[in-house]
Amino acid sequence: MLLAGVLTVAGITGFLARGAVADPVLPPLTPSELLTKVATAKVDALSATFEQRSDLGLPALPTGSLPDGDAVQSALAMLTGDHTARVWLDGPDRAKVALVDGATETSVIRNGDQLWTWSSEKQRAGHATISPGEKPEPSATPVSPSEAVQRFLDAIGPSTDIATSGTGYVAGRAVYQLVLSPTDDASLVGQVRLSVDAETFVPLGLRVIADDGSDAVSVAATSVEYTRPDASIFAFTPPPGAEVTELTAPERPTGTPTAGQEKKPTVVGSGWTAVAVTTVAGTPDKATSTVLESLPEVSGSWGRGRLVSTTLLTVVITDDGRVGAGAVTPDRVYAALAKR
Amino acid sequence: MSVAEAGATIRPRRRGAWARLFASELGLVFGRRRNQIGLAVLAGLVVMLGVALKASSLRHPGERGGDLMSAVAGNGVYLGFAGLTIEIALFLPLAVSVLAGDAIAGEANLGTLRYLLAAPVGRLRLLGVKAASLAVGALTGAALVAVTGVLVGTALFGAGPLVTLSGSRISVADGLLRLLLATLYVAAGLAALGMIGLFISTLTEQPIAATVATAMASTVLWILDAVPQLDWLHPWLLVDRWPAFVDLLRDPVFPDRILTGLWVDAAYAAVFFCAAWLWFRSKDITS
Amino acid sequence: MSPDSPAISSTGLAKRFGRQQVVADLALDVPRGSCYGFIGPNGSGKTTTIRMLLGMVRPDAGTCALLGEPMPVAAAAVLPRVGALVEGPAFHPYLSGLANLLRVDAADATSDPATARSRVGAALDRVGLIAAANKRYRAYSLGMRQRLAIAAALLQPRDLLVLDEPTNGLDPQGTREVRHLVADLAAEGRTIFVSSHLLSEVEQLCDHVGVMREGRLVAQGRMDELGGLRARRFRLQTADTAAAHLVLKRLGVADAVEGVDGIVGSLGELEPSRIVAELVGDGVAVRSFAPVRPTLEEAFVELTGEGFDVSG
Repeated sequence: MLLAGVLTVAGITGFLARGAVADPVLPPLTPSELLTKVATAKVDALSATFEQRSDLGLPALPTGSLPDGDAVQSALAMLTGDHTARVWLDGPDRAKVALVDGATETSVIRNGDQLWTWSSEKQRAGHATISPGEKPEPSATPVSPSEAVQRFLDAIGPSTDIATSGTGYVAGRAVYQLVLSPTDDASLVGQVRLSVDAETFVPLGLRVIADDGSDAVSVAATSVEYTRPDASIFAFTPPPGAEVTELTAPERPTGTPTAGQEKKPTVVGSGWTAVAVTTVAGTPDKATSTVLESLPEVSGSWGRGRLVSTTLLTVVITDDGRVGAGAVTPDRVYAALAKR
Repeated sequence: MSVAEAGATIRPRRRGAWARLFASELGLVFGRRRNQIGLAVLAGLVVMLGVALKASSLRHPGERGGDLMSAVAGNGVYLGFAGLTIEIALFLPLAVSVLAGDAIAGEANLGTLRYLLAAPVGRLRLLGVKAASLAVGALTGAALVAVTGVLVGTALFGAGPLVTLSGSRISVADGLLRLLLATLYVAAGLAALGMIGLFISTLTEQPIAATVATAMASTVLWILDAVPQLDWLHPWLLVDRWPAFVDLLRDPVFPDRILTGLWVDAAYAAVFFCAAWLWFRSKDITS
Repeated sequence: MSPDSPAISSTGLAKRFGRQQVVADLALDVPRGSCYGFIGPNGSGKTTTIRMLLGMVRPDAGTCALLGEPMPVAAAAVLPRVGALVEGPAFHPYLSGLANLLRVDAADATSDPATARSRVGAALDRVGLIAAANKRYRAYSLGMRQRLAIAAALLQPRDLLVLDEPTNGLDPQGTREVRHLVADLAAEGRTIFVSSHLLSEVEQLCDHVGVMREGRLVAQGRMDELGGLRARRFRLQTADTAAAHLVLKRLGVADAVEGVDGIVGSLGELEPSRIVAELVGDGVAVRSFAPVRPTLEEAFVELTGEGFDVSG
């Protein structure tokens, strides 16, 4: 009886522990100091687990009507729902990221000049050899980190309130919180909060909070260790029976499926409230039409079309093949489309 | 009167009284024909799965997907994991529900509860022994599925190094060790479900009703866990992390979800055992 | 704890199930060494009382004690010294009688596992079930089941046996066997508390009696005292009826009447021996003289003002 009671209490406190601890007291840093430390942070080795939660409020699409392309499906899959990734780093040229959702594993492994991709679901491995010159060394950056940070701050300054706002814990580590808030009310992004390890200055969490106060995307470490991972983690040999393809480029192209020739998008506005307008050539195929027809129809002085409205992003696809998209309210997209 | 005088001596409580009742309880549970048939069904399903996979692999040789079922065709040891995967949602919970429903309600229904209490068994000792035997039942069910899987899988497909979800290879011994851990993990979850059943079993005198209610509780948990709109609730659901035993098949093993899962199991077990005790300790036994 | 404390005692014991007051204000007093008959029609609260005594049902009010120990607090300490048959036998049907008794024995934390088999054997022997020890319980007849339940009560030396309707549902042969068994057990000096709805059974077996009616104890005491609630009577058989009447009149027996089987009258304060001495002294040929105790049924009718439902 007593034991069971103790276990209950221990279980519940264990569950709540993360939220129940008081925020740590850390020496204050300005946003610029914090970002500089992030930019100059040198992390030799790391093993971490990150969890991503997305609640973009995507409209429910008719299932089965989505295009077949792997890239589209996996991009959609990444955008929605929850994901868990394990990350290992060892020096500048050994890294592994493994997506461990459900009973599958998808990973990218870099071990020196060897790059592997692996999908347990498809039993498919991809391989590439990276030539040393291909990846610029961090030291090759033409400006000093603090200078680069200053440039970045100058660039976003007019449209953004930047502040270090309090401290907290992520994965049991004390963190600084950097908060970026768009000043323009039309932005659907309410806040972007970055959590930075107070000791190593590795970013451990990112939350994009929508204008309505909901968590649209949050990525946060659930565990992190700054110890050297076992070398075997980076050693990958395709298992027998797996299909191995040689990758032509160091990274697989993850762009949109063949959407014909697109014009370079024009950008209306700037900063957080920029709206990209582009034109898609050709008539949509049947599957795409089905998807489009399931979306709400909108019209105005700019024409008529379909609206995709999520907590973070508004996309309008007009009947004459124009697409306007931005992290803004639909009105702003209509206005951008009206400008032609 | 000699007999009365002899009886007047007060006998001390004996050490091992728990163990003796526990042994008696296990004898009762495993000696019961119905339970033996239940175990046979659990094992039979794994055999069926193995045969079906064999037939399919003969029809489509060389074809291979990436899920656990397909992996069986490459390595028989995987049938243990595959067996746990197909039985974790319904058949294993059902088996535990049957045992749990019987635990107190079965004795109440037969009337044997009053003779146990008159013996006297302490109510806490009885509840504790029932809980322990449910845990053993859960472990037996899971272990039977795993062992049957390994034996049948090895017979049908042979055994060899296992390919993990991460694409690496581990030895058969390592694979079997991981299967053992998976079995223990699955059993822990089932035992927690058993505590829900034990609680329900103290509420009624109808073992069937308690079994049905427990099985429904498990099904409702699975359904809630599958509703995306309730994702805020999912981490609190008992079954949410049950399938996480596949994380043992990663390289290196990914323990996070399993450890959280064990906490959830322990919390459920403790809460429902306490609830069962609070209810049962003062319950009027009128059956 | 003292050996002088009653085997069973209770004060103000009460239990309500829903709206029905099943037991009310019950004050039992069962002396040590007695064979106490707990009688009352079916549904008069006997079984609920027994369940409260054994700690299975929590009283709404009042206290009770077994062998001087408060129940249900001292259940773990006192129940090993109490054997009980509650509301008919109940065992696992797919286990043998032997296995069932071993299970009941395992439930008792004070029983010695080393002697379990011999004690179970002795108990089965005592109730005549040795031959059927390995038969499944489901194959037992009703009488065998009843005897197995009694055997369960006899697994340990007991100071008190609580037997709830031990002959319920048995055929005449089974009833006789069980009654003999109970009588033997009583003769060994144990306190026996036997509930029954059969007056004749209690009358045959018991020296103490408690009468239940609608959840209340309407009378309790020694069997002969309870009988004495009615005027004590005698029956005289003689050929010299007229002479006998004269003597009786002289002794102050006013209600002597001649019946079919002799003269019947109230004893009042007279000692039976004095009547006989006076009759013989006056030369009345006494063929037989006997004090007549009223039957329990007559006493019951007098106590409750209604007939006893013997159907159940």
